[in-house]
Parts: sequence; structure tokens; C-alpha cells
Amino acid sequence: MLPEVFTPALLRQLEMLKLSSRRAFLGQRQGAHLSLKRGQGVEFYDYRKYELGDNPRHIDWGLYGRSERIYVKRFREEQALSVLILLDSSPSMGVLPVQGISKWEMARDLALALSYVALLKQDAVYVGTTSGGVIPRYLGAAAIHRMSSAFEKMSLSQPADLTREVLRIAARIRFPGVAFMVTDLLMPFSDLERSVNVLLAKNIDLSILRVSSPLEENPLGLAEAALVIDSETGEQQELFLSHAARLEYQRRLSEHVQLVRQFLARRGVRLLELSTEQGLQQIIAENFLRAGVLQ
Amino acid sequence: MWGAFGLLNPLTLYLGIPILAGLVYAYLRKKKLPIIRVPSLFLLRDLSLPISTRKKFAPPWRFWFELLILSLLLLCLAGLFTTQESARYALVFDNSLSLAAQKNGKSLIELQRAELKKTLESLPANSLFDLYKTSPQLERIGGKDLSPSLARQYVEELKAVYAKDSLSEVIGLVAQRETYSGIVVFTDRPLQVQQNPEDKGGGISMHRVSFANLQNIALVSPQQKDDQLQVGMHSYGIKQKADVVVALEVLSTEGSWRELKRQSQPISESKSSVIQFALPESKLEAYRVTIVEPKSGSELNALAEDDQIYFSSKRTQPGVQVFSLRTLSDLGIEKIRGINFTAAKIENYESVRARNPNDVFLFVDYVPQGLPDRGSIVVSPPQSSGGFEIGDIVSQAEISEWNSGHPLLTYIDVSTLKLSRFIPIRPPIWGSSIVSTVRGSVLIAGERAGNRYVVLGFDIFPYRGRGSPTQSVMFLNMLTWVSGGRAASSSIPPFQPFAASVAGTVVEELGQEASKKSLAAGVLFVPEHPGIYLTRSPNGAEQTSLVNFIDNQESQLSINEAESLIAPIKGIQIGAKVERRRTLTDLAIPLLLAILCIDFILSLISALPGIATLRLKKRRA
Repeated sequence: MLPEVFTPALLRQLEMLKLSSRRAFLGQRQGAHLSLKRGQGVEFYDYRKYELGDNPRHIDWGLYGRSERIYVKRFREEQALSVLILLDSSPSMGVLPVQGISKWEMARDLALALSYVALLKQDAVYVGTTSGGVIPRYLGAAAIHRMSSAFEKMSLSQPADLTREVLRIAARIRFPGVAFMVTDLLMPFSDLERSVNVLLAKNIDLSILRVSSPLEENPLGLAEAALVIDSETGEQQELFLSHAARLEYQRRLSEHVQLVRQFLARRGVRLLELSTEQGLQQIIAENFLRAGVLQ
Repeated sequence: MWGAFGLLNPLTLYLGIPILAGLVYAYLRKKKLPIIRVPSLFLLRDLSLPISTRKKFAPPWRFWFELLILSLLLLCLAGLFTTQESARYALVFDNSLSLAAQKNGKSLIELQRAELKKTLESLPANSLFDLYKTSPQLERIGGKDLSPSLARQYVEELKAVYAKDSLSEVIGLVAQRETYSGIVVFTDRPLQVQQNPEDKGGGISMHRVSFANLQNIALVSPQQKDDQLQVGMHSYGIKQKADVVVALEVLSTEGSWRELKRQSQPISESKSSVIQFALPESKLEAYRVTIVEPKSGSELNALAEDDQIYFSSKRTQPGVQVFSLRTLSDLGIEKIRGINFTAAKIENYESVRARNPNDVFLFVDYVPQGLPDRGSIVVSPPQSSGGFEIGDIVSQAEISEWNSGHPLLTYIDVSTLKLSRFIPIRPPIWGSSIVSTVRGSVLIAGERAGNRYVVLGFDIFPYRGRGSPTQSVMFLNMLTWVSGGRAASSSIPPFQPFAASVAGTVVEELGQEASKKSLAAGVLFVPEHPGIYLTRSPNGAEQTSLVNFIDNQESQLSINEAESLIAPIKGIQIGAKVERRRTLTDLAIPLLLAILCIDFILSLISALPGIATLRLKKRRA
């Protein structure tokens, strides 16, 4: 069963969309995305001189009339994409929910929406989490329900080594394609940097969907002091935040995000900043389509 | 306003240490941090203030409120007080009967109250006062250390009573009771204080109130002689001849006073005269004589309260207090109807004597050292007493002489009496032998100071009624004769208890509606004004008591010659101050309530939703 947010209207909207990659990839099967492979297709690519054995149906008779030379048309094949969805399943995704929706739930819905679009276009979808476990490949639209059930069973846990997990997931991909990493980016920059480099090394078109909660701006809320527990490490610390300290925290957060933005921009990674306050439909309409993730 | 401060229980302050520690601990516990799960700590590290700053105890405003409340409670518990030095005066207020005298519609006691109030104003404002009234006995009114306003309030309640004062004695008692800066006496008597030369300071000031040329007429000394009633009348300060009209009233069967006759009598300057009334033949019992003219409160008769005399023609059968080692049933007298016999303990002789002035005393096999001042029957005295002397026990003697006309021997043929054993009695000066043998008298009787006494040398008990008629009749004759010794006019003054304290005894003032009063066990009846009082015991015995107040000192209103009062003034020290302690609990309690109210209101305000958020937003802004 899909979550409730996947209303029939949303599903109809998703059915009209397809994933967009910023470059072509070689695919394994026929699909809906232009491939690097030349062959049968609908999109004209080039001419070449006719050779024996060529299908006479590909001869451009108009050109022959103008030039009295026989050329055959060449086309780009449309193949299925490999889509990797990497979910940050660290415990930080489960805290500070807004109106009952945590970052993890938001990430799950985003993954389902993107998978639904991909599966409808016969793309192969690989879903992995940073918590480890098997990385199944989903094919066909009907697989969306299995995927939803699999998400229900997932639990949040802290990865022992994020880079290693990402490397393991990346190794699962045989054909480069598009990849989406859904995370809150609340991790040390070095960890993120290594993970992104691992994925980019697989020559994939990486997009990072940053899911944030507005409460991250002020994690202690109205309390001046609190015993805070790091949701990822379980580390406890007494915090006494003065007004100045709160401002300093916000400055640090913004600096961290800015650093990530600059890094991703340098590495040609697309970054979409999403909030748990946004609805799924709004994200698809305003963020995905505008950023070219979907078309 | 505030003098020195002190604590009644200073050790209680040590409780403050655990209380303060407990409060701080409670707030530290209360300050336990909320637990918040955050996504990650890596951005929050090193942002907290230094530990020393965080651990600093910075209590909220409520802590200070609660500390204040606890401190106040602790001070109350420790008994915080202030001391203030004040002069202390004894105000002796003469409220004897003479103060009831009136002239031109104003009484002496009103004048005296005004004088006291005026004196209070002249004394230092922070002085303390003990207010004493003199009559019927010395009594402090309203407790110790009254403020001037309280003294004014209490003095309004004082009224002149049917009693006389004894100022010299009273002032001595007051001086012995406490240490005073001074004794201020308010009286109508012209007393002058003569200071004892050995005493350093006098400290007694006399405030005399009087009206000029007070004249008064008083009734004194009622006496009944046969069918004649004689009432004495005395004038005080009257300088011209005047006719005095006196009315004789009788108590009707309806219980109201009915005038029988009036009589006029001329009276002149300070002279005594006697008015005689012929009593009616009918057996009317209660009479009252009243001065009708000149009217009470008029120029010639300033004191109304001495214008009446009560008397009763009824020979009331008094109660009999029996002092014997034998019980009433052993004596056989409990079966005698109409006479209230009470078994009294020999060791309580003095107190019984004081409490029962109207009762006849019967001594069997016992006699006190002196005979009491009331009618008494002594049977088989073991010792001499009151003037009579006893001899050795005599056996077998025949009666040789007897006074057959004496009321004691009415209906008795003494010649038939044979004595097997008796005590010979030698009669005293006041008595004579009624029955005697050759070995000595066996029955003597006599009268002394208006009281009749009978001494019998042989035992006539147990009383067997018809079983031994001679002894029985003799005993009843003795009771009748002894109890009839009191003149009709004899009466007791007010404030003398007279009713036996037997449960269920009812006392009724004759001629007064709704005056019946039932006495509980152990309670004596004390009349406060003259009248005729009828006492009914539960066994049916009735006793009529006359209460009259006749006192020359109180009726004499115009004494101008100063009397000397030697001040027995050991307790009086001029300028002596007393420390007045005032505990501050009464001040602390309203303060505590006010603080609690503020605390409650502020708590409500801070608990309102949105207030804290607004405050945070404001701080952010």
C-alpha cells in the first residue's frame, strides 16, 4: 500500500512525468530515455553511406534525389535508465518532526514518487539506505507496492561508516544512470564529501535532495537549557544556549549548508533544498519540475 | 514606634539552615534540564556557556517570594517581638454603693468615669493600665496591661454595687500584686494619702468626685416586736426639717408588692428616728418598707438604693448542719420531715460555717473550740467550749430541778426522765440551767449576741419519733427554740452566699418575676441586691433569706473631713517602667497573605499560554 499522500490525482500527475538526466547513458534495455547507443529509435542522429546489408527502409530517398547518393539515416536508441535512490536512514532523519511528518517520512515519500515515475518508464530502480541491508532492483510499475512495503519495514540506524555504505550501494550499479541521495545533510562535511565523490566516480548523474525541518533552526525550542541527546551517536550533552549562542548555531548551520552548496556546485551535483513543511505535490510541481529532475 | 526586637524562641532560627537548604535543593531539582533529541550535535558543540556559568544558581523571582514567606514563618515560629517601655498604672475605681448617689439627674459614678477618662488623657499615651474595682471585692477588670482606650471601654461597664469599699486595704493589696509606676484612686471619699516616710515615693494620687451639699435619708435596722415593725431612719447632711413619707408594702399572693399603709415622720438634721408599723394579723410573710417622700434623687435624698428595707415575719425553719462522727441515719434524724439536715464533716467546720450563715448547727459528740455565731445545739460535748464547762461522766442520777416554763420543756414531763449516764455541764455567763441533777446540770440554754445555744449532757439519739416521745419532743423543741433566736429583722448583706450547694436547689427572689434560678451541685447562690429570697431544697425544705444592705459609710454622702490613708506602698516605684512585649505574628500574617496573593497572581500570569512565547519573541527581536 502506498502512503496516503499518494492520492489518485498525484499518481495521475506522476504518470505524465518522466525522469530527466542531464546526459545520456547506455542502457541495458529499451526504455524511454535517449541512449548513447545508435540504432533504432525515433530521434534522428546522423547519415552515413549506404553499405551492403543496410535495411533499405533507412535510405533517405529525398537526399538521394537531391544528391544522387545513397545515404541511410541513423537514430539514437531509447533505453531504460538505471535509477539509484539512496536514502539517508540515519536517526537524525527521524527527529524534530513538523506536524507529525519527519524528515524520514518525507524522504520515503520522495523516493516512492521518483520510483513510481521511473518504474512507469521501465527504468530499473535501485533503492539503498545508509543503514545497510540488501539493495533490491525494482522493475515495472507493479513493483512500487513492494517498494512501499519494504520502506515500512525499514528502521533508522546510524551507519558505522557512511562512505563505505555508499560505496557498497554504488557497486550495485552496473550501468551508470541517475542517482538521488535524500538526506538532511546534517553530517560532517568530510563524510558527505567522500560519499559524493564515491558516487561521482561511478559516472552517475547525482542529485541531492536535502530534506530539512524548520525546527533545525532552533533545536531547543523555548528551552534555554536542555539535556540534548545526539540522535545518531546517543551522546548526551547539557546545553545552555544564550541568545548569542543560538545566533551562533544558526550561523554555523547556514555556513555548513553553504559549504555543501559550493562543493556540490563545483562537482556538478544538483542540490534541491526541500522542507518538511512542503507537501509532496508542491515539491513535484515547484522543485522537481523547475530543477529539471522530472519533465 | 518600634523598640528593641527580640525572639521568644531564638533556637528556632537554626531551623532556617535546613529550610534554606531544602528550598535551594528543591529549586535545583526543579531546574532539572528537559531532554531534547537533536539530529546531531556536531553543530552545537562548544556553543554552551561555560559550566561555571551554567551551574550558577540563578533562582527565579518565585524563589525569593518563597524564601520571604519561609523567613516570615520562621520568625513567627521563633516568636519575634518588639519591646517597648511603658509606664504602668493601677486605676482603682471605687464602685461602692455611695457612688450611685444622684444630683440633678447625674450620678457620682458618671462623674467618676469622666474623671478617670480625663486622667487617662493626662498620662503618657503609651502607658499601660490595670483597672481595679473595689466592690464587692477587689477585682482586676479586663485583664492586665490595658491600653487607655480599653480602660475607657471597661470603665463604662462598671456600676455601683450594694457593697462598701475598704480603700486602705484595697490599695495595699493592689500595691502588693504588681509593680506600678503609680496608683490612681477614684473615689467619693475624702481620703488623703499620708506617705510613709520610709518610702521613696508616694505614687498614689487620689481623685475625689462629689456633689456639693449632698443630703440623704436611709432606712436602717428593721426590728419586729410582737405585731409591731420598727424601722430606723437616719438623715445625713439634712439641714432643715422635712417630712419623710414611708410606705409599708406586702408581697401579695400574686407575687407583686401591694402597699398596706403610709406613714409620715418628721426628720431633722442628722438625726435618727424610728417609724413603727402595726403588722396585720393575717399571716403575711414578706414586707418591704420604702421611703416615698422625698423622692430618690431629689435634693434631700440623693441615694435611692438605701431607701428600702425588706423583712419577713415568717419564722423560717433554717437548715441544720450536723457535725457528728455518726451518720444522719445512725442519728435517726433523716426521717424528720420539713427540716433540711445536712451532714457536715468536722474537718470542714470553718468552711461550712462561712457558707451557711442562716443554718443552725447541731454538734453530736463533738464541739468546736468556740461556739459559732449562730444558733447551735450541742449534744454530749466531749470538751468545754464557748464558756460552758463539762465534768466527769456521771451515771445514775435523778433529776432534781427543772424550769418547766422554758420553751425547751414544752410538752415534756421531766420528772419521769431517768438518766443512766450523762455529762454534767456548768452553765456559762450567757446561759442558765434548764434541767439539773444533784450531780450537775444536764441541759443548759442561753442567748449570746442574738444567737441561741443549747447544751445537752446526755445522748438523745437515735431519734425514734413516737418510740421515745420525750427525747423526740425535746429535740424538736430545741430546734424550734434555737432557730427562732434570730430576730425577724436580721438579714445578710448582698454578695454573701447563703444557699446550700445541693443539686436542684431553687432560689427565687420574692416579688420579682422570672427570678427563679436552679443551682447546680457545688454552686452557691450569691445575691447582688437586697430582697427576700426563698430557697427550696430538693427534699422540700424551704428557707427564706432576707438580704438588706445597711451601711452608714455608704449612706453618708457628705463627709468633708479628710480621712488619712497611710500608703502601704512597697510595690510602687515612681517612674518605674515596664517592658511591653508585642509579638509581630499579627503583622506577619497579613503580610504573608499579601505575598501569597502576589505569588499566585504572578504564577497565573506566567502560566498563561503564549506569554512565554511572546517573551521569547520579544527577546529575539
